[in-house]
Amino acid sequence: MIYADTSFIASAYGKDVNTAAARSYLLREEPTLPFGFLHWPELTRFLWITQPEVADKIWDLVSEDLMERKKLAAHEADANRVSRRAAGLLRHYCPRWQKLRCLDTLHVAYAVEENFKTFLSFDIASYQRVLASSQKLKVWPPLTESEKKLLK
Amino acid sequence: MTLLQTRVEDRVAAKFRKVALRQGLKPYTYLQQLITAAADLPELNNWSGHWVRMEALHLRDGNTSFSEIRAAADER
Repeated sequence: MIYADTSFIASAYGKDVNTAAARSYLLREEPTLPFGFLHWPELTRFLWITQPEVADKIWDLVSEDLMERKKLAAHEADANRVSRRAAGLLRHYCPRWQKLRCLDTLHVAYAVEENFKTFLSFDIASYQRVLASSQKLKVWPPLTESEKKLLK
Repeated sequence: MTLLQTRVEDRVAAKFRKVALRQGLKPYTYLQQLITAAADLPELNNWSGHWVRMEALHLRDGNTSFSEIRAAADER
């Protein structure tokens, strides 16, 4: 049960500094990644900003992959339930991590609510991966030393 | 096992025979070669095949990251 946040999926369908890492993981694990309500707007924005000439073609590929359900599978979760879980996480963690962002927290809440075990994210600059680890999700790539310090 | 006993238009068959002969092969041998090569192609609907399809799109080189694109819009 693997959940990838949009930073990971964006690296697989676009081309950024993390594409090589995403590629090696995906070739090794061949996972079917869930694609939920948070991914739709974030991936759209990323593709139309970074690859405007071919964004339509990439989107066709995403749509095709969602229909085939081998690489991506449309995943439905109750947005209210996920949001309430995110609010709970924020209430608990944002006094300590004041830069913890709502959208990042929603991804972690989604993974927790839907019982995913592994959390893929390249969002090292935020508290998202640290939060995921605090919720007993296995984070990949592994937490950096500075992220580990935030857990203490 | 016999595969693909396919009926095609006369002009297609004639052209196929011509191409095979040009390569010094009998049409059936040439067809077998094509089938073998096609079977060796990566599956396009898994992650291995994904990168073949992405490379064909000639994406812009990305020296940025998803996080930086978000931050550039002050997205919090």
